[in-house]
Order: sequence, then C-alpha cells, then structure tokens
Amino acid sequence: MAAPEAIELTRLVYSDVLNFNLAKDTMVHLSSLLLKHYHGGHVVIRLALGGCTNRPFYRIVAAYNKRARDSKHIEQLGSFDPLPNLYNEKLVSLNFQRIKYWIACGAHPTKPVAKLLGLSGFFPLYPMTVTKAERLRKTVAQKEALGASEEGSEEASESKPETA
Amino acid sequence: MAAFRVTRCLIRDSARLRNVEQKSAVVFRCARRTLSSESANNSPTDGRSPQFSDEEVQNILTKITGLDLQKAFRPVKQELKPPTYRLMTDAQLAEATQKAIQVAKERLKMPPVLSERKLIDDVLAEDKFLEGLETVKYVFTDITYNIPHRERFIVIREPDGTLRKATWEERDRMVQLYFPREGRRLTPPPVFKEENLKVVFLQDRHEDILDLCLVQFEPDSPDYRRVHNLTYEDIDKHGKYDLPCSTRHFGGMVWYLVNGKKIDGLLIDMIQRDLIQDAASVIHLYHMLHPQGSAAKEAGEQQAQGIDLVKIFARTESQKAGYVELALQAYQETSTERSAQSSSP
Repeated sequence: MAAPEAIELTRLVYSDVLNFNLAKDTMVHLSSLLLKHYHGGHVVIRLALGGCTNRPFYRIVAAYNKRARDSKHIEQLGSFDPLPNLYNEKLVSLNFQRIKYWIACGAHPTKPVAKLLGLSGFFPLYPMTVTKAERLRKTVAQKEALGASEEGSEEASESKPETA
Repeated sequence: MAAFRVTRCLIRDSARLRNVEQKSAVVFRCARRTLSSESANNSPTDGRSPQFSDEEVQNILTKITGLDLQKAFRPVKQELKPPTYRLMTDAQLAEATQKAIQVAKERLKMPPVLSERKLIDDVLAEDKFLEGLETVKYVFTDITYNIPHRERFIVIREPDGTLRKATWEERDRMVQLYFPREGRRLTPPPVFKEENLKVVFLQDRHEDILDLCLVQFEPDSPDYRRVHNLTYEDIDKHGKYDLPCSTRHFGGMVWYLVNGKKIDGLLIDMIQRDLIQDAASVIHLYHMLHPQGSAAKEAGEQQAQGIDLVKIFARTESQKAGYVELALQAYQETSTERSAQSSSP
C-alpha cells in the first residue's frame, strides 16, 4: 500500500506527460517518487538523534517507517533539546501546521513524540505519563508511610529503655 | 567640485540605507497590528487625547525634526568601499537630490511610541497530578512560518504540572532563538544597565544607544521605555537638544517632553537658534495634548500665531519663564537689527 500522495503524484505526472501540457508554474515533486517504495511502509513522526558525544539533540521528523533513524527524512517538523539550559528549561519547537498536515495524511507519531505533544497541550495527555505520575506518587507515599512507621518503632524502642 | 563631492556622498550613502529601512519597516509592521484597532477611532473630534500616531501630531513632529542632509547622511561605520563617481547633467543632479531626500525621509521615519505591554498570566491547564515527574520546565514554541510573532503560541509546562502561556521576556527569547533578527542578542548587552548608560551619556552618544535599543528591544517592552526615558531626561538636563535634531529620535523626544510638560529647555534652545516656527509648533502640540491649561485657553481666545503663541506660553505655564522671555527679547533685538541692516544700504 503505497502512500496516498505518491499515487496522486504518479497520476498527475502521467496525465501531464500524456497531454504534453506541463504549464510553467506547476511544480512536480519528483522526490517522493524517487524514494524507495516500501512494502507496507508508512509515514511516522519520530525523533531523529543528532549532536555530539554526551550531548544528544533530537529533531522531530516525518519519515518513512523503514528508513534508518537518522537518515533521509521527508520533512523536519521541529526539535527537542533534552538537556536543560541556563534557565532550567528543555526547549521543544513544533511546526503545528505541518504536524497537522502529516497526521491528516495518516502519519503515526511514536511514543516520545506523542508524550511531548501531550505535554504541550496539542494532544490529550499520553496515558503512560499519567500512569507514571500515579506510580511515582504511590512510591513516594509508601516511602513516607515506611519512614513514619520506622520513626514510630524507633520512638517506641527509645522510650522503652528510658522507662525501663 | 563641491557639487560633485555632495552628489558622491549622497549616492554612496543612499545605497547603504537598506538595513536601517528594513528595521524601521519591521518595527512599524509590528506596531501597526497593535495600532490598527485604535487607528480607526483616532480623530481629535472623538474626545480622546491625541495619540502619537495621529496624522496631525506626526506632521508637527516631522516638521520640527528638520531635514539636514549633511547630518542625515554623515558617515556611518560600515565596510570600506571605494566611492563611485558619476558624470551628470544639472537635471540629473536635481533628480538624484530628490531621490536622496526621499531616502532621507524614509530614514527619518519615527519609531512608534506605544503604551507598555500588559503582563501575560494565562493558565491553560492545571494538572496537579503531574507534579514530581519532571524537575525542569518544558517550553513549547510553534515554529509555523507564516504567523506574526505576536500571535505565536509559546507555552510552558511547569514541573508542578501547570500549562501556562510564556511571559513576554520568555517570548522574546524564544522568538529570537528560532527566528533570529540581525543585531539582536539573546540576552540584552550590559550597556543598558543604569551605570553604563551614564558613561554613554557622558560620551554624548545618545543616538547610538537609542539605535541599539531600537534593534534589541520591542517598542512596547519596559526596557525600551526605560532606556528611552533615561536618554530623554539626560538630554533635557544638559540641554543637548542638537544631538537628536534631524534624526529619527527627535519626534519621540519631543512627544515625551510635551507629555511630561518639560518643554522649556527645548523652547529656549529653539529660540536661540532662530527656529521660531518650530517653537510655535511645539506649543501648538502642547495645547493639543493639554487643552485644559491656562495657556491653551488664552491662546484659543486670542487666536495667536507664531511668536505670540510663544509669548503667551512664557507668561502663563512655563516653569523657566524668565529664561524664555530673555531668549525671546534677544531674538527680537537681533531680528530688528538685521531688518535695520538689510533696509539701510
């Protein structure tokens, strides 16, 4: 199942070639035709890693599913810097207009991209984010409970030798 | 030969003005959006006090700024290029001068004076259960190309889970990061601190600091207004009115002084330089802005023009009345002397 826009473009190109009617201002995008056609491939919105040693930097990118993580993408839709800056911020840039276009074309965002979009408010919150938060609070509450019970037992053991 | 030199200077310098024009055009475009809603109602018959962007006000201020070609086109520090020489007829020379005047007018376009921007504190979502997941803020910027920077979505997710709109300083920083503007720095340079500004004023470089401020800050940011107010106060205190004269900052300075009712020094300076019509226009502007004052009422009763306006103002509302009247007397004596000299031979 080739991507729908590729089918449209092939139709356009063939019709133009047959009619010898290429007007000067129609721009035929041949790049997606020349890309490899993957069997069962689809477009994804994912993070492509860049940067240097001990300094990651992600680009949010629309690419074919079967392509390598960092290789040729269809379009760059933004960036994500995982290391906080001077003002203690992680900077995320998102080209919402183009993201809307690619999602309308049927692109699948990956988990980290979906999490980022949920945190930004563009998507509803990703369920794992909520689950993680709940689990964290549970562990914190358990630790507190443990700590309280330990203190209680310590006090009890301290008071016993005093009284005894 | 002198004509050659002048044309050479004019032609060389008019080719260098692109940067300055672009900046002023961009600043004007940014301001036009905020002003567009108000501009429809900006006739004085509306009962509101006149704004900086009114046609009448702008006309007065442009007239006062003057058009000293030598000062407008004085050498700016730029790349050294050998000058181009052209052989012209008189008609062509006149044409070239006209073009240069047009270009100078563009250069003298006043940067807008806007009221201070209101703080943004809009909370879009409060998700308290997300607290503790992160120790850092996430800043989400929309990098869609075709939207104006004022309407861009810049949103921050705090570590305690609240999703809020970014403050103006954060907005400026993000926009400069993703859409960098030439000459603007991410953090404002330390020249704009109080102590360093004093040093700049001692060196008489008010224009340069105002140009820097225009490039670095947005016209309605508090920093922009603070720097401009300090500069105008310093000019007023030391009477250095010829520094911004014939530059684009003169209108803004006059507007600030008229609003603060501190036009005495300016008037004295103008009378001493025999610019009586300009002094009269300044007082006309003053009456437009403060129509309840005693000077305005008297002037309205007597329908005064020119030097009479100045005299009425000196009598009624001026703080340095003595100085103004002295200057007026000196001017009248010199003008009578001159007319006597010209009529005698």
